[in-house]
Amino acid sequence: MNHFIIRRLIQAIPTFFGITIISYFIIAAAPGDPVSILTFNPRTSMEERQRLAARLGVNDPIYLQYLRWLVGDDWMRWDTDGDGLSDRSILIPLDADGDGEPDPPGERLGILRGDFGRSFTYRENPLKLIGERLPATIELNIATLLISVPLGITIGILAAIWRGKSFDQSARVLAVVGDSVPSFLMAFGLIMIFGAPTFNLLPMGGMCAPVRGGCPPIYQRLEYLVLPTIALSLGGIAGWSRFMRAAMLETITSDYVRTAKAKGLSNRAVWFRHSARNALIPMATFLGPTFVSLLGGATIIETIFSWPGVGRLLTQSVSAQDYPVIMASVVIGSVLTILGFLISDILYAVFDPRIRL
Amino acid sequence: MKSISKWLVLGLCLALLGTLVIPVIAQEDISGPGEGGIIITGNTADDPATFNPLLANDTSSFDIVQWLYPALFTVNWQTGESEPNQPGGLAESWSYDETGTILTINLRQDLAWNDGTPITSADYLYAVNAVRSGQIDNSYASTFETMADGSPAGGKVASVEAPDPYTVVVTFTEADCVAFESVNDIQVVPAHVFQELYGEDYAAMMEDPRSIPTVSFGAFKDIEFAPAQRVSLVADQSYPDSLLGYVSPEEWVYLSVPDENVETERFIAGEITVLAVPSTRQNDFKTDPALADFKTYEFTGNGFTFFAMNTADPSNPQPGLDEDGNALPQIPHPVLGDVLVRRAITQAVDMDAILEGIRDGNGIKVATHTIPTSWVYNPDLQYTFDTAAAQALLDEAGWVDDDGDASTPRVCQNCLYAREVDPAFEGSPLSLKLRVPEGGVVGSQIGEFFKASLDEIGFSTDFQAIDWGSAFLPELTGQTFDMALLSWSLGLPVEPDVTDFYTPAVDVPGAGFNFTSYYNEELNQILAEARVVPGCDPEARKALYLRAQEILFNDAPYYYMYVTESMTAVQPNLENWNPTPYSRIWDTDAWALLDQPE
Amino acid sequence: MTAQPSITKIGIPLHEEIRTKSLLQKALYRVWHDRLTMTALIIIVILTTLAILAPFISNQILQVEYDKPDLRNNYAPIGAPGHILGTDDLGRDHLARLLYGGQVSLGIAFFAAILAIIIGVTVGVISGYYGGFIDDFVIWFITTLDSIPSLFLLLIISAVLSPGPFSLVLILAFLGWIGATRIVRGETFSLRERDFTLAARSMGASDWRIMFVHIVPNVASLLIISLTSAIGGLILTESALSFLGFGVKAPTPSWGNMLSGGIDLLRRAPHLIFVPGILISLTVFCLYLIGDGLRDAFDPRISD
Repeated sequence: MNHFIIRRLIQAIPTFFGITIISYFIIAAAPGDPVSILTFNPRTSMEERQRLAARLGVNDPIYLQYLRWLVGDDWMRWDTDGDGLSDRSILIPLDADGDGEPDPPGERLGILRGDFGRSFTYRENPLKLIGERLPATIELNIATLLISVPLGITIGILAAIWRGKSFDQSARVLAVVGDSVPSFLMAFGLIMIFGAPTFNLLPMGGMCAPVRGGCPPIYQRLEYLVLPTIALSLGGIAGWSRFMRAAMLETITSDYVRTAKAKGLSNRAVWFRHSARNALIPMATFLGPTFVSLLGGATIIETIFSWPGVGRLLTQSVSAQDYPVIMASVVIGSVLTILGFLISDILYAVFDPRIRL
Repeated sequence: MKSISKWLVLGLCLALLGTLVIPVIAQEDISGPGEGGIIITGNTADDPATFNPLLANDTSSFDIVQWLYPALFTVNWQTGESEPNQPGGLAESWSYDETGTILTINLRQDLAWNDGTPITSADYLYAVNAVRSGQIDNSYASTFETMADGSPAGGKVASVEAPDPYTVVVTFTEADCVAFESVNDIQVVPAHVFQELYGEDYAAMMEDPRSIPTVSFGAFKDIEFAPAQRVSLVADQSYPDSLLGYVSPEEWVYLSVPDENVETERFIAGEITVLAVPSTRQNDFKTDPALADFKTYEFTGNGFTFFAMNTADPSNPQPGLDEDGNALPQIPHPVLGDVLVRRAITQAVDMDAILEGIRDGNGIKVATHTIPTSWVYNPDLQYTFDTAAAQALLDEAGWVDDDGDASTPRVCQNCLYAREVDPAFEGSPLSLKLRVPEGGVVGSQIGEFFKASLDEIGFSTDFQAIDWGSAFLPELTGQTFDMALLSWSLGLPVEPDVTDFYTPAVDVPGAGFNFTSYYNEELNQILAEARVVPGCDPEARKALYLRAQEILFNDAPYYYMYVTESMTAVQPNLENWNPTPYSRIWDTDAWALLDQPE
Repeated sequence: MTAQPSITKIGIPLHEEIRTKSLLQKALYRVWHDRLTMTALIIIVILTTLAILAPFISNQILQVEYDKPDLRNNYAPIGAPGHILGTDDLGRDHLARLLYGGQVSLGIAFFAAILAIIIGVTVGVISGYYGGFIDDFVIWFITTLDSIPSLFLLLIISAVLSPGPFSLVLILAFLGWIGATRIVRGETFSLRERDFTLAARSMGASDWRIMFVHIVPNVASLLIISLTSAIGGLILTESALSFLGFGVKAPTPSWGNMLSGGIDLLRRAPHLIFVPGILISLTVFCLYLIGDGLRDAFDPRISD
């Protein structure tokens, strides 16, 4: 088991570099540059623009930007005589902003040494920005999984048992309906119907009432979770019930279930003690990756329900070409995904005695 | 469902009627200090990037810091002009010397930060020094740039001195009627606090962009920031300039509501106090009886919407000046390089139809860069919609309909580009790229209407809405566009000077704002002259700016379209709300939300 | 030399033909008698036909132009004279735009799904068939791509490419082929050791032939099933991208950008939301139903 985990972690290293290289090059190859977005103001002078571009390092060749992001630039330009200005450099010029005197030495350490840089827009550490939004996203994800997984699995089991009957047909239709409506339309629909415009049953957005002192504990503001959770769950219910139905059908027709039946066990015992239990194994392995993929945030739902999650931050950063934030989220997202797959493999092994790692 | 909502609407109307019957309590002192309720305004933009006014570069940040820091001068919100002794403004009086280059500002002596420390000229000086250091990102640093290296080129301000705690002396590099406001681009910060936090190491501010101000001056204080949720401030009763002698609202909340439609619905539901009504919803508030009870205020905005028309060759953008500062001749744009074609375009589009059909009548046609509220506005300059005349102009410009088929584009027959640049251009079709930034319906609606109108008179128009950051800006500032839709929002007070937009010095591919590469000798002279009119005599300046407008009108580097008529709405129970065309929130410290009758 | 083809004909495919044909016949029989799936199929066929015929219908039958603004006649409601489904914010015929928008939305989803499957099958078969270094590399690449949150990649690439319908097809296909590759690679692994493949190889059939003539047809049913659901999912993705501002841009109409544009006109012209909303949902709904129906129909475990 340990051997397996270590091997998988070592395998993840090239994957990690692949991810960061692909992402960085896609981002930096985008036309336009962050400086012109940040300084679209007729009163900002050329000098100011150049200074900013040099400070952000966005005019360097892409491979250099990537290197700086990965391993920092304190070794690219440094100061030997202690006057605060650099006097030695490799790869980058001593005077990048063109003001006639050498620039201060590089200070970036690179992500491998834990330095994710600073957001172009917010000037903050990207990890801090993401960290501020993550709790809201996790809260919404857990709520979504708590609704969609049990509901989807129950529907899936029942649909498999009553295969071809009216319950199966209507469950199938309902699950598909929930999955067919564009999410933003669904979200607006929910707001217009359950929010103030019609029934005024539930708040239309936010995580809690806008009062000072922060949000109260979650059980005191459950009503704020209802609509975004419903909007996010619908697709999940459809997906889980479809998986579960298929997995259940597979076990129902398998030999050991037939044997159990032949031995005279009641239908109910066969279904729930044998089929469903075994059908749940593949489901368990989906949980990890699903949770991780939800962590990317549901931008649309967050936007419409004013939910303070990471999805909005990501979309904003993409529009503003805020490289450090985009890359930080790519790194976090992909590390979590790699871990998610690993955990699901381990779970699979734990649940399924046929597999020995 | 449908019938239920119908009943609900009916019920709502009855309830609203009921509230009308209840007598409205008279103005002014309807509540005590901090008893006016919680004022909530929605923010559809991103979070504020900073609470440090010296770093602020985005609207969200400005929306917050405006409550916390004073300015040197403040606009009189009734007149829209900078005046001394305005609430929140430090200046008591100011005067120029006889050369017009030295500005002496006397500060009010009765003002103090909310920790009791008097506000003095040292506070302004600290802000100026921080900006001039070049260590922090500040969009207005160029104004003060000369001070950093001592050379006179570039910036407008040669020096800022504080001979005594209540006097600021600004020396300009030259007499300049426009420079006055740039002194005010920097907000005043509490030097004693900033000195302690950062000292002379101004770059340290950049490491700490969201530090919460502990000492402030304004109607509200004590930021509480919940990322992506809200910024909330509480009333600061020590604010001396409040309209009622106290700050009426208890709190001011800046609520993050990223979606405009949801924001509007939440306003209608009473969750938001004040709403800048989205243009697509403006007419709902005028016509829908269910919304009739909200207080609304319509005003002429201080920005205009236009199509920039690139006058120079987009395949080979050149700066307006060479390295020695001499004007560099521009290769004309194959189509738009000819002023006749640009004029034809200004006559080809039915702007009334756009204003009626797309803007719901909420706009005023303009044909120059001045807006109707400006003191140099000339209402006589108007484009006329006349497709026959437009077609005649195209014929005259050498773009002719060679095959008599109106559905195919005109072709060049001895047009300007073929005559002056490349004879091989002869016979090329009259084609244009029309670009609008993606986002918002109005832009693409206008774009589509323009395309249809231009195709009507023989253009072949390629219209696309494109992403702002990755496509639109690179084309615009890179000067590779043909026609691009933009809106300028002008600051207050409205300044008629347009040196930043039409002179060769700012024609710099990739950065400058004369992206149309427009060049007119006479205009440049007039603009330079108007800045140094002796004593900045308004009449003399007005005459010059009127002439400048005529030139721009005739040369049409922009197709100026309209100024929006905007609307702000507030809850029916908000009292003491006296909006002006220049600000809808200037009197927030007097606002009071009355208890709604149950 | 002469004997080989005849043996190929008689020996190997025969075994497969019997199996697949009976399975296919069974499946078709099941689909034919599955009323839900058949209804969905008919609706999709009708919608697709209408969309393909958009130019003919709007020019000849409706006699309107889908891109001619008429600002004096905008926001006309459903049933307005001359405009069956009313007009949009610029006074253009709503029905005609929906037909053209259908061309774009259905076209993007269809071609992106096809392209994704072509890439996925090719990569999957090659990787599964050859194994070894090629397989390792493919697996590494897939894992890498899979580990970047996909909405994220979608946003980034759309921002880079500033998408029209064509580049959107490429983007969506580029992100969508991984699923197909996984399926095909797994199947190929098991199929390549099966009798009929071994026999074909022993008879000197080229790798290429074995992969695409012998193996691919065996995964065809799987692919058809995932194709229908993929098209549905992609229609939703297209509309979500429009809402986020990264989708098909004006002036090209698509159901997605018509719907997200309609949201702004929520109270003024509800038909600009409801009609495209219903069309998208109905189409996706039908495609999912067809996918489900086919999956059941091709399921060898189920006997009637």
